[in-house]
Amino acid sequence: MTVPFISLEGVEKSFVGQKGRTSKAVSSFSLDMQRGDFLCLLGPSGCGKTTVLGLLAGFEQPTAGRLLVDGLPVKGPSRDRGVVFQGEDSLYPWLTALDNIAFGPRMASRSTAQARDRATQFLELVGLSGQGDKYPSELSGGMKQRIQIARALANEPKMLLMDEPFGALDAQTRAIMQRELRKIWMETRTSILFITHDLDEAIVLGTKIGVMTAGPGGTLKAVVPVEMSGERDRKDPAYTEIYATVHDMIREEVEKASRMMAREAT
Amino acid sequence: MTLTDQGTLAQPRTTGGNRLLKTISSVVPHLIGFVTLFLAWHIASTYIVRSVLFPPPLVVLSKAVKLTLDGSLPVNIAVSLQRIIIGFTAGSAIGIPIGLAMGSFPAVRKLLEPWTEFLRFIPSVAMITIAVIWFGIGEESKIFLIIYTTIFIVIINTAAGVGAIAPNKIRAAQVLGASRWQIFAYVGLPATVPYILTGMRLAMANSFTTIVAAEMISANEGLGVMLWNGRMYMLVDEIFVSLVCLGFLGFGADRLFRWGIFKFARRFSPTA
Repeated sequence: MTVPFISLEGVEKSFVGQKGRTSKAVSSFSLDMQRGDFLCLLGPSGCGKTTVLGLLAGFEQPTAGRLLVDGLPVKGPSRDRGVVFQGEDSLYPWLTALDNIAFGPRMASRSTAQARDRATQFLELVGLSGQGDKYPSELSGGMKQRIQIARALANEPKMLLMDEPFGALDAQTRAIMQRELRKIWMETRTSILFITHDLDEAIVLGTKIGVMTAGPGGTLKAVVPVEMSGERDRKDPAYTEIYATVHDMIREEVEKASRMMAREAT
Repeated sequence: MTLTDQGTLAQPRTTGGNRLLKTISSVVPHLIGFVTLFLAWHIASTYIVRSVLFPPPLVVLSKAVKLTLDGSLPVNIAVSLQRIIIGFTAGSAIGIPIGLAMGSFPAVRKLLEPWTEFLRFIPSVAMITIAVIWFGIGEESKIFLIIYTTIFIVIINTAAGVGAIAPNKIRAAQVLGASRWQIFAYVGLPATVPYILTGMRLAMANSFTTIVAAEMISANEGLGVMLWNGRMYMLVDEIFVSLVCLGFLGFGADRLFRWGIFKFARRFSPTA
């Protein structure tokens, strides 16, 4: 039996809040990912999907359970797992777009010229050729997210973790970015874990959709494969079918959550 | 169509002129501000107060020229500036690493906070007497006081700057493979530069206050001495010369820092 690329086994994470109350962000979460998967983790806000990403990135340690990459436990942040953050505050405003992308190669003690060469390739990959000497403050929200994607990819990570990277963009820019990301993934076949609360986005992008239960203390409800190849078409009957299936699952969760809240209120 | 063509053609030719025009138009309001300041002073002293105790700007200017020609004004300015520059540079050089350490390590912060939080509430002016007793009336006491007035503001601002770094900037560096030291040098330091410069800018204003007070109490030369002698011998003109010099020097120093903040806050590039 081969070892799965990514394996989360019964992962649980709880936080100690105010007045010493502990709250579970994720509970008994199990998930396997294969190399080259584009898995969209879908769930309502507060279900703990960002916590899963933080654990896998190594920013936080699980309270219980195991996270394995290539069979080895995650000990902390690593250049193997690149992260694209939701906001733009992870970019370095004192560096140009090109030097932001070159940051990873620079840290691996490559020469400035080598690092910039590499960064130029990835600047091109995300469609920003010629914009390299601009500073983040001179770029639009969509461009900044492109820089983040290029910065993460320039380091050649084994996988990419993306935390609602298009959540703050307007609808048009988001649609463009989704198409571009899909294209980049088809070119590079980098494994991606993509966090989103948008079902349409999940179907358009992913090869699999991980549906989470409602929080707090959410867990994985089901993994739905998306069997559509190439560029995704919303008029494809497969799209409609997956949309309906997953939508029913989510509605169930929302109803369950509201029943739970009503019970707690009484 | 012709409009755009003309526009693109005309642009390269006029950029030089445009830049000059822009510089002039950005300086003009400032100049007008200064002119009105001196105009108001002139009107107030010549037409409203009409007293030898409030000389008009032109009288002060001629006095300044006289003091420049006999060499005393340049010496006084140079002495005061030298004290400020030495004390301010030393205070910043000590304060910045302490501030970085306090911002980066909670243990260091807890250890040093009693020092900074206690001492920063004792104004440097209150320290003048003890400084003179300890270091005499020479340069040492003045430089000690400037260091004292600089260091705490720089420490507090630097530490605040480290604390203000967005966690995602650190996390991004971690997943990009940066070591702890690299994160400090390539993320922590440049992200804190604007805060350090702001702290230094505030400290510079304090330095002016402190040097004048210290020189008034005990010194042989300096702009503060000019103020004190002016009072002793009723040389009102000289007092005004010193006051105007302080204003201009402070303005100049502050401009320098604002320029630095503007420049470094956006352009500081640790990888270049």
